[in-house]
Amino acid sequence: MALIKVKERGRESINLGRRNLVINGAILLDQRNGGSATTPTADQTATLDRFKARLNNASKYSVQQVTDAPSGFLKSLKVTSAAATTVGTNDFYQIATPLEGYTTNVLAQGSSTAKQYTISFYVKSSLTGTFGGAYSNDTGDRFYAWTYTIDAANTWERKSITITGATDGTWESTNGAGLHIYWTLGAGSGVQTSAGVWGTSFKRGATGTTDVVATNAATWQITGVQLEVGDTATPFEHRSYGEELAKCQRYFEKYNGNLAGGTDAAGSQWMSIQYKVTKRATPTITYGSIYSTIYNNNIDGFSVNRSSAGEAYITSPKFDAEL
Amino acid sequence: MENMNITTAQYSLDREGNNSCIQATIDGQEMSVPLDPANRHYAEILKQVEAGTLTIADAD
Repeated sequence: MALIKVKERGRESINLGRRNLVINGAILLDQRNGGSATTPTADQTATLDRFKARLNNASKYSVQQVTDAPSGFLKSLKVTSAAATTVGTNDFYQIATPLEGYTTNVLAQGSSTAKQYTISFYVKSSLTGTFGGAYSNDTGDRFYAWTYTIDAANTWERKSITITGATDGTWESTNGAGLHIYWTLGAGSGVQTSAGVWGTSFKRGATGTTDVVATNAATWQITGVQLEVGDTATPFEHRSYGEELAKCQRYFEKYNGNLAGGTDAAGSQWMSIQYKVTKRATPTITYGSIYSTIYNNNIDGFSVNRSSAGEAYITSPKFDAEL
Repeated sequence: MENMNITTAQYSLDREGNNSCIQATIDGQEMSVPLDPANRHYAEILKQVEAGTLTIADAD
């Protein structure tokens, strides 16, 4: 009888599917703005799905999902500077994406076995030079600044930065923010720090980097964002649109229309809605109009009650469970 | 690390008369904020209340 020998593959260092910890890294989703530009006026303004604006002065840059991307991608996140802004000592302008603790436990930060991890992304800017980014924990008492270089203007380039995770500090391990990733578009000297080392003071960027907001109409674009365990930037892990949408809906969901409900035995008007995806935390609900009261809001859904005649309803609701 | 502009905050009651959420105006937008410390809006409300810069009004 002939024997078939099965060749055994190496067991270590094979990091194949499900390696990208970043959600919406290909910038496919923009549930809030649908591709329209938005100019953030407040810190923590949510822009494209899972990407937020960090700033201490309003209206210095706009953010937009655009159809301009490197080969193999469809969309990118585009920042456009609104003016030649003077960056003050403690000023900061950033794009950030927080990763949930359940996702980042694999990095083992805060322990002696903290992993090396690598961020990679495609970037394109009207400016060239040294640019900066950073990581922090949620309390901000562990901070690491990094830099990358854009060599040619208006040209897509792929960058990767590998670091060793923090071996101390407190890192959220459940539904809080397990790791914040920042790309700095401007940071004053008072909120800069040296790149390449973990520190215990919360800063905004690395010293010696380019301020995008300091040049009127300067642009900076990013897509193909991937963060993975290991010291190598592997090819970007593309996920389907539907899968990426569901991942985003853990943090933000909208309903494009009106929801209306019926009557209970006592004549009170009720409706109960189940969220499309269970939320990270009980979401904040915003809406166009409502009649009349939200009840029983939790990570799975909510109810609307109206205690008089007529249907209970809520129009254009949005559900925010962002980090 | 949040920095929200909260201009109004008032409890809403459930059918049993318990506080169920907070109707708030944050960065100019009205919203229904759940009483969940993991919710970023509620966490900021608590922080501003503790700092003495915000008071949550009782339900009507």
